[in-house]
Amino acid sequence: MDNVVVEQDLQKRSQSMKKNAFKLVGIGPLLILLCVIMTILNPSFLTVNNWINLLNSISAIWIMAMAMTLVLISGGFDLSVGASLAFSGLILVNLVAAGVPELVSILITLIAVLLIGMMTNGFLIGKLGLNFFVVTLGTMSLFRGTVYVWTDGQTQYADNNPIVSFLGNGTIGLVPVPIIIMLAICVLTHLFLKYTQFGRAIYVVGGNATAAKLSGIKVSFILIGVYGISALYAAIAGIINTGKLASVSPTIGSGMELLVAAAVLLGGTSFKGGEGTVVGTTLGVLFIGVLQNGLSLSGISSYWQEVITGAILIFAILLNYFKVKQT
Amino acid sequence: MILKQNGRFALEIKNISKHYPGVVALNGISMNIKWGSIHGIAGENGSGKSTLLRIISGMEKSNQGEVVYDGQSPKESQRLLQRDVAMVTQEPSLVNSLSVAENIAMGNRREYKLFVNWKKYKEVASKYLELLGLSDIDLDIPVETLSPDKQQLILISRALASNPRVLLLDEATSSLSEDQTIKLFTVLDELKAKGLAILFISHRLKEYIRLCDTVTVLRDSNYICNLKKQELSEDSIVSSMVGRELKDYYPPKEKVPSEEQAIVFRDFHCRQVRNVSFSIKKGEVFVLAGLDGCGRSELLKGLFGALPSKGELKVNGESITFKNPRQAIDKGFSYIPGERKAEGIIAEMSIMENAMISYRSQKAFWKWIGRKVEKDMFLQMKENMKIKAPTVHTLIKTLSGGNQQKVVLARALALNPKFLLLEEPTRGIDVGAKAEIYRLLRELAQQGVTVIVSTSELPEAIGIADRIGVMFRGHLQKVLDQEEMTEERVMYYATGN
Repeated sequence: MDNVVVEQDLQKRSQSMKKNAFKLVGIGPLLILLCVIMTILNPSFLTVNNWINLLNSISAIWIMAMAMTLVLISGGFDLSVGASLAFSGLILVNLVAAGVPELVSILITLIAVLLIGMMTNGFLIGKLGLNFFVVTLGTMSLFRGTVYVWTDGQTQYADNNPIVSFLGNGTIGLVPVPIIIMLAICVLTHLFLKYTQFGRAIYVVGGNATAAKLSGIKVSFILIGVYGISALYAAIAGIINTGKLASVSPTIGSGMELLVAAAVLLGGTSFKGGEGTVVGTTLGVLFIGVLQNGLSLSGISSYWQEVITGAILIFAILLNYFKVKQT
Repeated sequence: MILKQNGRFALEIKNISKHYPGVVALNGISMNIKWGSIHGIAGENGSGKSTLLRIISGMEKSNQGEVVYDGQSPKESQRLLQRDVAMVTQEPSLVNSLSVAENIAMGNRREYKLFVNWKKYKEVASKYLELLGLSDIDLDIPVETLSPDKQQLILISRALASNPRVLLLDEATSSLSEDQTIKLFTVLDELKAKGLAILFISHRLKEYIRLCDTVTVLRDSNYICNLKKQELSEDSIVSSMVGRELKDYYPPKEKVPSEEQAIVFRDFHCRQVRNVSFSIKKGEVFVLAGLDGCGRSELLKGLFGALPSKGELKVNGESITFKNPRQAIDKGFSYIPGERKAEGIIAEMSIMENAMISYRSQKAFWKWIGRKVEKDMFLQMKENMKIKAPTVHTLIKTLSGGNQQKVVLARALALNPKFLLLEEPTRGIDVGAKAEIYRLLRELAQQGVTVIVSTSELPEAIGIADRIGVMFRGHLQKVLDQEEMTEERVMYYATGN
């Protein structure tokens, strides 16, 4: 009889150990592990300069991932952010070229893209209830196509714009401006999502849209807002990119939406909506940034880099799956 | 097909337990089912009947215990049961866009070949449909175009087409007419004579008495008793199902409601609801009763603005139409949906946030959440409503159905509603929580809140109502006063008399 009790006890203990072990495989610990591996492969990974480079290079993805987190929490998806990024850069360059003062151009660009996002994706998905995948697939093609038509496939150059260029390439002290903007947006989005009526309502809409509606939440208003924010953040990223490169190429940002989505999903936000945090997404973006940076430092060919990135992403998602299953 | 009467039981259910996070669905159930018998399983909503059938059919795994089939080892039983069991579920499981013939033939797994034999499909389909009295149906039309009773018969035909040895019927008769039910029972009696083991769940007690050889009663996930054929009566089944004196269960109806007309319907239309005219008094508990599909839930949703409606609606003397729930909420209405999981809870959120979302929706969207205010408010409700949860941050999905329902109720009450609309307020929750909710509803009514409940449970309707409106096929058939309320009278009007 005693033996049985002891055995059961042991069984319980081994089970709880298993659970504790799985707690360690979240994206945070994986990120630390990845950093350790990268440092061993190439010690220059762990230098201030490299990290400034790293963060600077992922700033656009990071900003867009913040908005994509909101979109996924609301139970949707936005494929059009990459195209919005190119579109906003193009609007900015053309405004400036037309002689509009820079600050005003930036403001107009932001407002215009916000409104476009609200009126296309937001209206069709939030108000009419169309499928988010189809709608954003359509607007992705629509925006990208517009960029091609507008530029006739040619890269547009924008030199001699001190403010735009400062946003992309400037530094305050040691820190590049894009990193500062990105951190500010990260903190603001976190507070917005966690502590405002609108932010919490996004979780409710994504978690159970019917319940939200029956509780008096304006579901369509929330969704229009969310897709508006998604476009707005893409525009911010677009302006920073334009400043960095002093130009807008019509293909810029293509495929970026998938990288952004990968980062968000890695951070524990789920496709079914109602779940996810800014902190998780931040870790997800860093994971992708460290992976790409580390692989290029170690001199692996860019073709192989892509293969390895894909494999590790699937591996990370798999671990996450087992973790959820365990708890 | 004649099965061997080999002295073995068809099914031996041994100490089956099943729990979901925070909920015990079955607690150590054991029973034996003979070949060539119809075995009823009775119990209130949420007592675990359906879960038991799903475990037998293999759709769900039990946490503990085993199902022994025809004396085989548990492992072998599982394999054989997959082949030999057919189940008619409560939830519709037809493929809506496929034809009648395909839907029926897909039950017959043993006939699966590389190519589809359409002629054979149709032969099989028409054979079983004829048995059930549906010989005139077009086999090529998609099933979604058919009425619910015909869809139900197609589901049953599919189960029969798989040549089962064990047949599980979970509320298979709920949408059938009386004629159709009689036909089905004749077929079931024949199958029983052929030696099949049939497990049967119904919400009509009379059907157990007509059909079953034995009835096992479950209550709150526990085995209560086995009733033999000669012991079966409505009284014996009900008293085993409820297990307590009804007068402790429902709070006394003390105060006579005022005569002030709070809500007046005139020629109200909404979906199948037609020409409904009646009024509800301030501070009364008004219950809408009637069979499933009679339109009582549509009437509530139409009133709340969740469904488009036509006709005249007066609230406190003011003519009004709600285009969406928000407008109704602004006028002091709150609604508690019937499908707790699909329409009520937000599974991944804490109980406090779940309770606060209505309250928050009244605030401007850019405002910060008042964390202190919300917490104080919720703690008070948690205590008053006896919500059992470790902390206010507990995820709602980990609670029992009864506590989840109380949180959803708290959400509505956070708005201090003048009108509280509830749909199936006690579906799938334990008796303790039920009594608690009945008490709360009565308290609210005494404070002057107008409470409107739509329920499919007759004892509940009679236990809590000041007046009952009985509906039948979209019409309000009769409004019964306190003195006139009996189950017989409600059923009489609910079936169209």
